[in-house]
Amino acid sequence: MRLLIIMLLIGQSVFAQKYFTRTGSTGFRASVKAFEPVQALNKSTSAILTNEGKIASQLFISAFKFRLALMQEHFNENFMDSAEFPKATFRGNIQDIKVSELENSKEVVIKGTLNIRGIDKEVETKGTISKVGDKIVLVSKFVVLPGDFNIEIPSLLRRKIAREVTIDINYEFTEKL
Amino acid sequence: MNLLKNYKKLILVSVILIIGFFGYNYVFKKADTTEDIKISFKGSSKDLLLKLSKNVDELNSKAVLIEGKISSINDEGIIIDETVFCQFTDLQSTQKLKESQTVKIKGIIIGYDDLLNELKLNQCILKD
Repeated sequence: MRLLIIMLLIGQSVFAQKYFTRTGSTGFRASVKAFEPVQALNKSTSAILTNEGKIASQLFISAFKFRLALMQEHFNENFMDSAEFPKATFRGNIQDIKVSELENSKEVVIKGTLNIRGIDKEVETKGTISKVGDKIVLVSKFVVLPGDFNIEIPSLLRRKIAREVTIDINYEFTEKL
Repeated sequence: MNLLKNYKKLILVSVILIIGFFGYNYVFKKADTTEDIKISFKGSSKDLLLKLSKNVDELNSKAVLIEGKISSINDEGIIIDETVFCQFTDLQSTQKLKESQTVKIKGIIIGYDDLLNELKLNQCILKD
């Protein structure tokens, strides 16, 4: 019995190789030319990546920083209801990857579920995963529509906010010890 | 008569200018920095977590001043008492710090991260 437990523990440390970050950056762009840029950056995204390419990430809506205070307030209160839905999450898979065997960089397909404002949406996108020193860097982007997450844009602002919102991700994972 | 007309014009122009000035400042105001935001909680990191254990989202996006021991430092920020992760606006301020040192930090709570089981603070600044 004791041997079994020891075996399990060793097995865990070998197979459950995980990579994580607390300060991944997630950007959001919905700018229209000739208007005040609508974009923000969240530099406090948490994410965990397993050796087999399972990925889970989570961010707080209120941690998106805009250049203008008023825009940030509108984003949180009118569009994202960050008091009611403080988090956005993504759970999915990076396909055909063994992170520990990665050398240089590789184009990958990421599939999973994006949850914003409590609404799930299946997404699929391309990205690049690369090994830079000890770090694993994942760069990708998603294109989503505000309507997919029941976000209504008032007609007054419709011309100033792009129809499609681009979400840029750039996560630097370090191995969890 | 002519003088009166000029006065009216002058007043009109100055009113427009004043409205324009305040309007511009309102619309194009920069986001507040940590230094400007009023502290909503003051105490040790344990007290803070105890307070949040009743209602986890109570202090989201509020500024707090906490005191605790640094349990680890990395190039992203510092962790206090193994439960509170503080991210700094400028990384230079963390370079002087050492592990197991007691620090006072003002930061803005962004929320409790259940993925990594820690409370996240950002835009942190060191307080003496």
